[in-house]
Amino acid sequence: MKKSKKQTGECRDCGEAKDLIARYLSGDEDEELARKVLLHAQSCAECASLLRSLKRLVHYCSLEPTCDMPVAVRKELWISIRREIHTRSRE
Amino acid sequence: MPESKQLAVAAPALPVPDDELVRRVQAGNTEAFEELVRRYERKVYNITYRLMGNEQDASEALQDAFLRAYRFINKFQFKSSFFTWLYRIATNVSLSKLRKRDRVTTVSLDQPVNAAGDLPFEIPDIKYGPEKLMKQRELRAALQKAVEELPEDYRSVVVLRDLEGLSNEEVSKVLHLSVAAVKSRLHRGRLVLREKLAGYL
Repeated sequence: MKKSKKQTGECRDCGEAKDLIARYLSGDEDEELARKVLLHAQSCAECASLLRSLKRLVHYCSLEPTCDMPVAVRKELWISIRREIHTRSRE
Repeated sequence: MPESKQLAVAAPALPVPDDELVRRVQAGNTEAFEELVRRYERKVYNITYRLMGNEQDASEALQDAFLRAYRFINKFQFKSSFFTWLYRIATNVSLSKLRKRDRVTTVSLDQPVNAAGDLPFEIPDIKYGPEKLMKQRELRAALQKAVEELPEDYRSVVVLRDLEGLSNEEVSKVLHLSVAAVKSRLHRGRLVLREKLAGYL
């Protein structure tokens, strides 16, 4: 059921805003989209909280360090690669 | 030192592009393959570790991915970049192993990833004091655990996009999905993570 616009935000319920937030955070570069999201978040505590927490999540993920490959893992990798190369070169 | 020698030292050779290395491997040059492994071993290990959740399984998936890449490199047709192709193999190998693992045994998600209960790649940040460092460690462990618990479809997208930093377009090529599907799965995955990590966000 399509609902009409509400007084304070961009949309009648938060469904549309949540779609916009998803697009906004998935990397859609669009000033109008950003404006709509931020405007709605100013008038809706639930969407403001969603936006804030998802932004933090994305930020934390981006801070995750590249893992150091353990020496033993690297050693095993190279043993198996050299074995494979050797086997195939004899075929 | 003569001037000409100084110039030679100052201008290092440009790295050989991936595609050229692949062509050399296809022509039988095994050293070129070793160079490709050196270029991507850490990146591929990151992907397999994030998807598998422990060092042993990640190590097996890493080996399988590179062995498979070597066996099938003659079929590589340069329609995508080499790393996209390699990441696809690594993701498919990991997900396939995960399915088998989950069928065979139930792994406790509470089980620490190593004997000390830490993530093995934790890098302390000297900018933080002990309390913040502790919270950062907790968050990393919780994040890894939450990612491991994600449904497979969301997990591969979240790992490649949010943790490995690929673009939506690159993820779509690795996973053979439309960009719209990548975005949709990414958002759904993030919503699940948000719930699981509510205490940290």
